Amino acid sequence: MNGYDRRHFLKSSLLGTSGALLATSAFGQTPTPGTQNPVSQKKFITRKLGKTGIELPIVGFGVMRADNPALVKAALEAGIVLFDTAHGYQRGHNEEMIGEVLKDHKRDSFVLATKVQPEDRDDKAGTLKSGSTVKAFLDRFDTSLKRLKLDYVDILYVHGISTREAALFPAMLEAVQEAKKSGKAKHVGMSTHMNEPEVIQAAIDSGIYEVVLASVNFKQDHYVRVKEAIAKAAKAGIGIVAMKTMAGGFYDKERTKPINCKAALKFVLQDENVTTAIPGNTNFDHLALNVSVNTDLTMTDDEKASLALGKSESGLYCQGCEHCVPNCPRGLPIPDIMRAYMYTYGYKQPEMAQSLLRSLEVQENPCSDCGHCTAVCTKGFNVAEKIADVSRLVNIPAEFLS
Amino acid sequence: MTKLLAFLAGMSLVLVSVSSAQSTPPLFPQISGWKLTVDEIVYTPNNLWDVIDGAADLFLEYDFVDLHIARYQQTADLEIKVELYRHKSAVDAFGMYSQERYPDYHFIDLGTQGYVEKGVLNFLCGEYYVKISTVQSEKPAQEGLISIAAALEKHLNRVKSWPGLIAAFPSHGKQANTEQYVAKNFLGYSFFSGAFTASYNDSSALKAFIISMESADAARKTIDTYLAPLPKEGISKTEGGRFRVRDPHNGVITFVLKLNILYGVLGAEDTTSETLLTELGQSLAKSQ
Repeated sequence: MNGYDRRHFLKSSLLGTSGALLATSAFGQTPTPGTQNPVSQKKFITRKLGKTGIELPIVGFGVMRADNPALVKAALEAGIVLFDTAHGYQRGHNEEMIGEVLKDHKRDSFVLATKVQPEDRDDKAGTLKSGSTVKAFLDRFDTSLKRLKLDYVDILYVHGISTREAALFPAMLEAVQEAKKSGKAKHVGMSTHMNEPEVIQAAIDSGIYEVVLASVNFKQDHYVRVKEAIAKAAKAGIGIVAMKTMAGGFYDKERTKPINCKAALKFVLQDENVTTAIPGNTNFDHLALNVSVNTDLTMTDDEKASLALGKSESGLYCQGCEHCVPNCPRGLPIPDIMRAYMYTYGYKQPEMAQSLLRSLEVQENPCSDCGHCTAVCTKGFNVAEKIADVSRLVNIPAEFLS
Repeated sequence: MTKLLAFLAGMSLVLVSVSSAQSTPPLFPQISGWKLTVDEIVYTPNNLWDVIDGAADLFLEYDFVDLHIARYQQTADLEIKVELYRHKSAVDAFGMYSQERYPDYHFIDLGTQGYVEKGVLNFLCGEYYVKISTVQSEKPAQEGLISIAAALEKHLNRVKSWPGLIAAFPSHGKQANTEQYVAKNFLGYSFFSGAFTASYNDSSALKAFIISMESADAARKTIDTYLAPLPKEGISKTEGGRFRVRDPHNGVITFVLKLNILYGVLGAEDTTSETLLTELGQSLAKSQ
């Protein structure tokens, strides 16, 4: 952002006093506070959050990266309504910081969502274990409420669900229902950033979750399936909040080519089944950029071009879609070999890669007698080249690797 | 031998990996009485979300490199999880550690610093931010946290001193354990990065800060960028090169730019800030 833009935003923040935003109720049929841009007077685009009765501007604020209360204050003044945090962010500092800011604002002028992680998880399997009890969850939630200085949150999510089994884990279903019954959570949901279609379907099937906070971005290989799941959820009355819209912020694994964040945000919000998105704002420039999307979703030609360019940039690593497998005449376990490639170049653990390759009984350059590789990768990897490269590890003496 | 040399010559990227692996000792020590299982997956900036969800975003601000996870099991009921978050530098690791530290924790002498709570022991050890946890809460579990942490500290063998400019903060009036390192976007501005801060006078609002910039020229340009859009009536420059700025987002900030070092105070409008600024300048002069 140039000097003029920052000057403009500073001016807008000063003009956009919170009092001016509190004239109306946040919910129901009446206009939502923050739906009016304080400076330009352009109306914010708003959408309904499933059947919750909440109507939100299409851009909220994921506060996970912000440690500065001034940013949250500026966001409130700029018309942002939804603020998203979590019990675990900064071991509670994040919720405390938000609570300090929000205590000076009328309760119906903002929508606060927090997330509580089940205590006992099997990270690898994505399942929950017996230590994830109702009591442990609700104790954590009570701690969150104290930090936030609130009697209730608008949305309580079960944090970080990646399988159907975890989504329907009985203790968590009981816990969120109890939180809602007690009035400490107005609405309940879960957050997911893996296997989103499966988790969203589980949310529909549960009959309990009202909102799903899901990773949605233009770089997802399975974006079409995510979009289909979101459509089904919307039809079932479940509100969808999008996160990770910036897809990690960079086009490349080396993090040298920044993504056009505004374009990426607009892309996700083109889908009207997505109620709102919660990009992280780490500085006032980011905030101004994201707030501007609230009034204009039109994608410029440059923005479209930047996303197209980004999609064509294949990452280093296989996503395990297995589309290539049936087309390999040698029946090689290509996703597993690609995992070895990731161990070598991504994790810098060639000994782990060697161990995996040997367990798979992969020979050095197993593709050498194939004239043309028919195992076409959906991400555009040169499969044969990568296999030839990494398979050379199988014959290296182990002492050279560790 | 010739074949091996030819292979190594042709596999430059793997060579980098091998070299990196060779320079890194096995991360997790064997500990008597505990069965060690090291997770196969190593998390990088590209998949840290898979394990700590949105909390990953802040780790990335602090040049997170990778996360290795292991589990130590003593009995069927007692398992302790160890997470080794490696950052690019000790300053980055401190920065992330400081973002999660509370001044009133029960601190213990472990690494540069550590603290222990029920089921949790975290400590800072060079470029590693180490998190040790268990869902069990009985006494053996707590003792297990400490014994594993001690073994890990010895194994990692890193320098225990505080990194960066932390020692430059004046001790008078400073609240213990409030020092932080903000890697990026200090005060919400993209041009302020690498700020060390500390709280003073029983108020989390009163903060001193120090930023060491690349050069005096870069520092002057940064200040120009900061001041340019601010209302002129909100900026004053007093004797000794002190600036007093009414920042529309962060309140009154007083600061001094001395060559490439920017130091200042925020959170007070009275003479408190002036006094602290003087002490900060003196302390910095002594430390250089």
